[in-house]
This record gives sequence, C-alpha cells and structure tokens, in this order.
Amino acid sequence: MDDKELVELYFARSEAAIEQTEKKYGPLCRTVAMNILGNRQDAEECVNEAYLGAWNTIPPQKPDPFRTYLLKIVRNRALSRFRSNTARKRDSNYAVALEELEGVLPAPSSVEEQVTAKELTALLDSFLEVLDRRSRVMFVRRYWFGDPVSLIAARLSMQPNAVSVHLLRTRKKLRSFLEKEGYVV
Amino acid sequence: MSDMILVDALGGISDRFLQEALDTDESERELPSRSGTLRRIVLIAAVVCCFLLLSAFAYKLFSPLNGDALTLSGTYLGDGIVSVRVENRSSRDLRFQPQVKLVKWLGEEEIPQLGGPPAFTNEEIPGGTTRIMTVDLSKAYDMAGLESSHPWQWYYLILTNRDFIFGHEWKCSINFGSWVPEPIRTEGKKYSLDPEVLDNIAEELRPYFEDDYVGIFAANPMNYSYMQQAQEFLLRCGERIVPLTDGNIISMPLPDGIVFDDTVPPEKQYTLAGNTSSVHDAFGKLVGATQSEKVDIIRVFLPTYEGSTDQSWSMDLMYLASFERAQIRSTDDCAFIHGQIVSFGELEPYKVYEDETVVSYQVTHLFYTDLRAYVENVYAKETAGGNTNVYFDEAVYTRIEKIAAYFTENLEIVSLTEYVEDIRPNCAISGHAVTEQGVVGLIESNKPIEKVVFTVSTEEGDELLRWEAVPEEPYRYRLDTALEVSSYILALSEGVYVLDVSVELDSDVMRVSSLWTQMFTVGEAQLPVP
Repeated sequence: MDDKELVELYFARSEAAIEQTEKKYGPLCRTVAMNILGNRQDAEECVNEAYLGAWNTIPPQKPDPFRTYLLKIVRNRALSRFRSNTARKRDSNYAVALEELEGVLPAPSSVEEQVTAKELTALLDSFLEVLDRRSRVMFVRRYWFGDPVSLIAARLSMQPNAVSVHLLRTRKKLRSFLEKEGYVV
Repeated sequence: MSDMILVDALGGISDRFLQEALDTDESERELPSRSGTLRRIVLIAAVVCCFLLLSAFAYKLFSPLNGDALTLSGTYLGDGIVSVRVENRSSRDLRFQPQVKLVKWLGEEEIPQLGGPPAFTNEEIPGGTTRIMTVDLSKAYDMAGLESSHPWQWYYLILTNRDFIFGHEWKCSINFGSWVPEPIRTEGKKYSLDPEVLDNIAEELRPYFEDDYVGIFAANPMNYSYMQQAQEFLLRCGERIVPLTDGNIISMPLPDGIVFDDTVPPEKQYTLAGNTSSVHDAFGKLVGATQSEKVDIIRVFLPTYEGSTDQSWSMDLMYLASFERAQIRSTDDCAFIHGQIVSFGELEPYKVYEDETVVSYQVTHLFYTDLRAYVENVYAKETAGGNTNVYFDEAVYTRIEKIAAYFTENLEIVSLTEYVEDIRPNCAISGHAVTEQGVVGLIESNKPIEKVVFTVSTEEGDELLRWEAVPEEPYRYRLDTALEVSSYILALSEGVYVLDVSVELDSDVMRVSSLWTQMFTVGEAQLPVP
C-alpha cells in the first residue's frame, strides 16, 4: 500500500489506517522512539500516541510525504516524554547524543536571548544544505533519529571510530557556522 | 539546556534531509585509506583522468532530469504485466531503458532475475505529459513465486532512464499477491447504481458497478480485478483512450447573501460545500482504469444527526474530469470514465474549462442521472457500511439540491498556473509587488503563533490579494500542497482559512483557489501541531 492510499484511509476515517500505518511504519517509528527513550514500554506508548496524533490531524492535513510526517510526530512525542523523564535515569542513545551536542551552542541564558528554535532551524537547514551527503546523513541519523554510532557505521559501511570523528568534525563545523552567523559569542 | 534548543530546532529541518537519511543504504562505502607518495600520485592522476572523461561525457552519462519530476504508480495486471502510470512534470522527454530491478519492500532484498529481458511498451514519456506504460516481467522474474507472496508483501519496481549507474532511478510500489480477505458481504441489496448509467457501461464491466460492496475503498479487492478487466477491455476496444489527468482547482467563492440552508448562520454557508479529488466515486468504484486516475469532486457537507450544527460528513455531489489537451488529437478520441467510453465529441457540451494544457468536463451524468435516487443510495451505502454518523431528512435533501443547482450554474475553475513557493517582501507575483504588512497578532489556536499579513497590490495601490501566513522559516512561506507538521494556515478573507493557494492573473483580478476552505473558521482554526 503506498502512502497516498494510506492517507486516503485516514480521510475515509477507517481504522484500517492505523493498522496499515503500524504494518508499514511500526518498526521504524518504534526504532526512533526507542532511540530517544531507551525504554520499550515508553517507546510503545509514544508510538501509539503518535498514531493518535496522525488520526487527529489527518484530515485536514494531507501529508506528503506521510513517512516523515509520522516520524516527526513520533519524535516530538518521544522528546516530550524524554524531557518529563528527568526524575528517572535517562538511559538512551539520545542522552549520549545530547551530551555530544553540548558545546555546540553557548550557555542557555545567552542563547535563549539571541535565538529562537525557528531561526535556528533555518540556520540548520542552510548548514545541512552545504554539507556533503555522507556527513549530512550521519548528522541527521545521529541527532534527529538518535541512531547509535555503531548502527550508523554499519549502514554506511564505516568503522564506528571513523563515524565518531566525522560527527565531531561536523559539530565543530556547525559551531563555526553558527558563530559566523552571529549566534554564538 | 542549550542542547535541547538545538534538538528542538533540529526537529523542524526540511523533510528532504530526513528522506535522504531514511533512504541511505549500505551502498555508500568508505574508500580505504591509502598511503605512499607514488600510490597517491597514481590515484590523483586516475581521479583527474576520470574527472576529465566524466566532464567530457557528462551530458551523455548523467541524466538531465530532476528525480522529483516524475510520479509513478504501478498496478499488476497478471501474467507478468505491470501497468505503470507515469506523470512527467519536467519539460524534458523521457525514455525508460529496458532494465529493471525488483526489491522487496520489507527487508529491501533484491529479487534475482531469471535472465530474460523485461519488455516495455509506451516507454517514451514526453515532457509535461502523463502516459501509461506496460512492463512485461514474465521472462525476467519467477512470476508464480511473486504472485504467491504474502498479500501485504509489496515490491519496488525500479526503473531508470539511462542505467543504474549514471541514470536516475524511480521506483513504484507493486503488489503481486492476490488480495485477501475477500469482501465481507451481508444479506440484501444495499444500494444500486443509476440504471441509465449502468446501461452505458460495457457489459463485461457491469458486475463491478452492480456489486454493492461497502468495505474500505482502498482495500476493495475488486478494484484490482476491475483495473485488470478495464485495461484489457480498453486494449480490445480499438478506441484511442486519453487517460484522466489531475485537473485544475475548483474555485468556490460564494457571493454574499447566498443561502443553501437557512438553519445554518449566513457566515457559515461556505462551510456547506467543498472540493476534493479522488480516484473513487461515492460508492468506492474507481473513476478511471487505474488507481491513479482522479476526478475533481464538489462535495456537500452534511449533519451527522438531527439538529446537529456540525457538518462533519460529506457526500460527493458533482464530478469533473480533466485531460491533457495535447493528448486529444480529435473529437473521435475517447475518455474512459466510470466504466464508460465517451468520445470527446460527446463530452463537448459538458466542457467547463479549457486552457493551453488542460481541458475539463463536468461529467456528473456519467455517475448518476437522478439526484434523489443517488442521494438515497449514498445514504443506504453509508448506513449499510456501519456509518451511524449520517442523517437524512427533507431539509438535508433541499440543501443538497440547492448546492447542486448553484454549482451547476456557477462552476468556476481556476487554472493552477503558478505555485507560489517563495514569498518574501518586495517580490512580485505575476508582476505585482508583494508587500509585507508586519506581524499583526496571533491566530487563536491551541498554540499561539505569530502571523504575517501579505498583500499583493496593483501599481495604483488596489489590493488584489491578501493572506496571512505562519512563517515556516524566515522569509520562506511554502504555499504548496506538501503539508508538513510545521505547516501554515492562510486566511484569504475574514472567516475563510485555507491550506493551499494558487494565484492567477485574469483581467487584472487575482483569483484564489483553495482546498479545505470548509475546514476552518476564524477562532476555530486548529493549527497542525500534533
């Protein structure tokens, strides 16, 4: 079933929409949620919430591509759970990925005054645009999908060390790019 | 928490980066590192040679086509034949090469070929046209094995315009398995197709239209056998058939004071009618011969129970079929709509729109001829299908009748001549300056979001178009149908919010067409933040 048909099921308000979404994208959604949350039960609940989110927003939304639309919902849900889990120990790939991102932006007070997430997104898009394809894929897989370095390495047939070094260079490039744009003091 | 700011910002990055990351496979390989001056020199020399050779033959080797310029949709017709509808939106002609790959959708495993070549027909797709191509895979693959695969196992058929090294690759999904489960049927006739329409449908295709299956449209197993029958029928019929194409957008501005239903407040009358496009009619029957041919539909929005003020279920009311003008060579050429072959000569009186590229016809008569019987049948089908959120009485019928009468007389179609994709202050649309009026407030919604008002005016200062946009990123307001989570809502005028806009200059009047106008009203807009 292609995504257009899937979206049509949502429009027809057919419960088969959820069933088919689960069949087609369930494993992918669970991987993203699991990467961020590191807890199977939380990930499962988060994916179910995402399906409900898709059900409640389609229609009027007619997402194309549907896959990334759904994944964005999963990621949003997972991140809000991740934030609310501060009391519990954060034990996920994402906690490690977050640590890696520390230092790309300066201390919170100065950042929050200077840059909104929306502006930063625009800058990130520009930054990703100029990166070579491999670095871009690595960066997105690591910090958007929360994939572990070992998995990225396997996907790209590289050594995990090489991926780590590559990511480190990309983060440095990002920092200098943001500095150039005047967002980092 | 600066890392979380970055994470939040990362959440909004463009879909294309996500697609790219999702589509990356292990085919990307790191080159092993080399050492030694001599080796390095040899390597550099080889690279330079390759570069020079590639540069010299680049035009021959690499495809000039943009990968996004095609849309493919495939249907398995049996006996190894796959029908592929190809929409070539580029200005360049395309010729598919007689080579394919077949990859399992689950697991992405490539299916080994038997050695025989795939046979193509209609593999040339001129720029700006839509064609139906067939690919015979019977000598290339073990079809019996593919046909016995699990019904949910889909495959990607990968096609190329040059070869799999330098050409572009396009893939379309195909299901070779037979569709299960069989439709669940209940006793008794649930609805009937208009007998006059049924008489005009070829005898061998009638059973499909007589069948009163009420299951999910997209999963209707009969659609697949119908597509096969219809395409075989069209090959035999000897007529030159022009496929349906995506049409223009129906513009539905309502004049002040129009009342379709006096139980609904005047300012809400516009919520009673809307438009969409679909591959199915109101009964789930395919409108064309493939699962990608669509018609435009005007819908009425109706109450779900007696006295209800919401209008949350809709009924397809009028059907419009569009064709690429260049493909119609004479009035003897034919269209295949709703199981009926009709010549363009016969369709002429029903023409409602024509420009350099598209011709549109109002073809409701090919779907039903008696409004009352049609409406009752749609209700019967809905209730038989277990939809309890439908309500019908004489007042509802009067509303439907008034809307049908109004749009029969006042159908207005807007040519989709220009998608506005990059709006910024001081740019121009169709030669008219765009002016940003600044942030004017917040859209009342589940999340406060700043909005910006844009206007398009003539040199004399007369306002032609005005809309409010939620910026996705600074100075970039994507106004196309690719809706994203961080999408926008536009307001064309007070009380009318839309999610899609196109503009056309016609006699100094900027006309705006919209989808989903009926879904939003001021103060009730739900921004798409899941």
